[in-house]
Amino acid sequence: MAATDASRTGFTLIELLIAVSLGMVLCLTAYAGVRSSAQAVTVTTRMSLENALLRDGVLAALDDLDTWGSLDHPADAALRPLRGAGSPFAPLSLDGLPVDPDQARQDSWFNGDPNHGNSQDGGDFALLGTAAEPGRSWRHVLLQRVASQLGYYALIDYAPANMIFARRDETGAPDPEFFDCWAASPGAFYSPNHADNTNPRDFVGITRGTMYTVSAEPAFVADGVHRRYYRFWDYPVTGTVPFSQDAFRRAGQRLALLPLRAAHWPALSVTTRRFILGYRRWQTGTVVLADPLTGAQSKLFVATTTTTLRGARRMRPGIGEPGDPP
Amino acid sequence: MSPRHGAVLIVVAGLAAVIAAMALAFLARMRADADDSAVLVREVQARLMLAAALQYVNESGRLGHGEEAFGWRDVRSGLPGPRDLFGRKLYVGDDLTGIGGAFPAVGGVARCPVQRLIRPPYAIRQDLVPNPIALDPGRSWAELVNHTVPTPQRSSDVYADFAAGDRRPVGGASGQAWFRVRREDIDTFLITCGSGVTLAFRDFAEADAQGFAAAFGSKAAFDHLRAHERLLHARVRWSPAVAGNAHMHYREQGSFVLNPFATPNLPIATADDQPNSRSMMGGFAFIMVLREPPPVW
Repeated sequence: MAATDASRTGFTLIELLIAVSLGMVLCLTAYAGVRSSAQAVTVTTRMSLENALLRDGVLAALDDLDTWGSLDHPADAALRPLRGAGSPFAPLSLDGLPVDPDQARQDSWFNGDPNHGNSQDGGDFALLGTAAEPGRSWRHVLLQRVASQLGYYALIDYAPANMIFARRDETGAPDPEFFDCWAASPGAFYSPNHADNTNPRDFVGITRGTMYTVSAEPAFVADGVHRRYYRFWDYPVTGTVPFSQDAFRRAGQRLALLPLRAAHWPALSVTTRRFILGYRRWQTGTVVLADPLTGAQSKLFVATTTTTLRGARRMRPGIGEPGDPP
Repeated sequence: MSPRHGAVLIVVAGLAAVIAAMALAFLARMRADADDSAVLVREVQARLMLAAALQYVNESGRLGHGEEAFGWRDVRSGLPGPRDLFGRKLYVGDDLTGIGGAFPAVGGVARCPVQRLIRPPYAIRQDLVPNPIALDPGRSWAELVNHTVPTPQRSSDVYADFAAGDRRPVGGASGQAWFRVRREDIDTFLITCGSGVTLAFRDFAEADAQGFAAAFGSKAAFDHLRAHERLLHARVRWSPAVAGNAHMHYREQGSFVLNPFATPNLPIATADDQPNSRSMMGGFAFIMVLREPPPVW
């Protein structure tokens, strides 16, 4: 009855328990592997999403720096807050004078004492040119017109690199707006950081520890941002320059990205800034990614060479310069 | 074997298949991420080329014509440049408009593929401390402070090699980027920057006309390479005005004593160092990155 004996062959209870246990260990191990893999995929997907957002943030910042679209929308007239008088995208009139002087003509050069633009220490420089003298008025007209029509950032943007920021008005008198800190009543243009009297009043001299910027932020616009400076070597900040300490951080343009973002998604913040500070012109983007689940933040800072304010104005017909050829 | 005997195997194999599927999805996502990152890399590469092109425009108004020139619009006469010391044209074209055939004449195009060289011409040795201070206290003061070798050091001891450099590209650094400059007017330039291997040719026809057809094989191959490049167009206007050349130029008020270049303004306690931002080659009146490719570039 071998068949009958064989049919009785089976697991003992101990064998069954061991076999089931081993099987469960195998299954649980495999399940743990699946679970870990699933978690890894979840984390990877999240990180991939965050990386994609960071990349898109950088590209959005670069695009805005190229176009100045956050300050003056190319298509939507309702999103052009800086078209008013005295703002960087206002119309410009130089009464027929060229924006770019012929540097071969001596009357486009600065004729005076670059160190003492508002004094007569070195003689009466009004004899060499004023805002009223045909053929010798370019510098004096440009300074006044651009400063009053577009603001100080635009003035520095438009001025040739060798500009000495001092002018004589129609009567030949020094313009008080460009009086420096050594005058009894300093003008609005020169920062007290222009602290030693040996510096010529040129691009390097006026930007020493001093920032000029463009902003559509309401608080800054109300503060007259386009016709004032911000000091960076002024500690503590005085009451006369209330925004200096925070000017860099707060004056940037915040791009509205992902307005319909779900609460648990990573939050992307992109801020673009244009400012002139410390002998340089800056066009920067700051991209910040915050994860609401972990609290982790990533930050990228981008500085690039791109469209200047004058270049941005040339993109927009009807505000003072001929359109570019196609 | 009854089906029951394979149950564990089936469960484990199934779970392993799930893991494999997730691994595959992971790899696919990473690959997609890498592709997406390549877009950003190409964007950055193109922008680096914009900076390079601006420097090229600045410098080539005065350098690279056999002798020193005086800018794209000569500051001595207002005429189109570049011109030599005696006002003679260093381009082939009209005397008043500058219009001519080849760059640097107005209407001409400079094609500039960019690659790192193993050793550029006239490169100096990258030796930060060619004359370390001796650690021997027995030496005299003169021996301690005096340099025993001149600095900077030439990159090659043989002058001919130093002058010629080694123009072979660094491995893996060629075919990454390029720019081309079209002189639209006397002082206005259209810059096109690219990140890729098309060697700054506008199209295959141009490459073919200049004898580079074999480098690409066919128009279809060229177009395929072009499709994977980022092109960045910018119109700029050069200005002969230079900046920063007067900061702390005079030692003190009323004095015409000049400070040595790149030295602090010593008499003033609070003086910072000079920024050395002198641009001897000129500057730019405006830079305008274009949204649409211009018809001619």
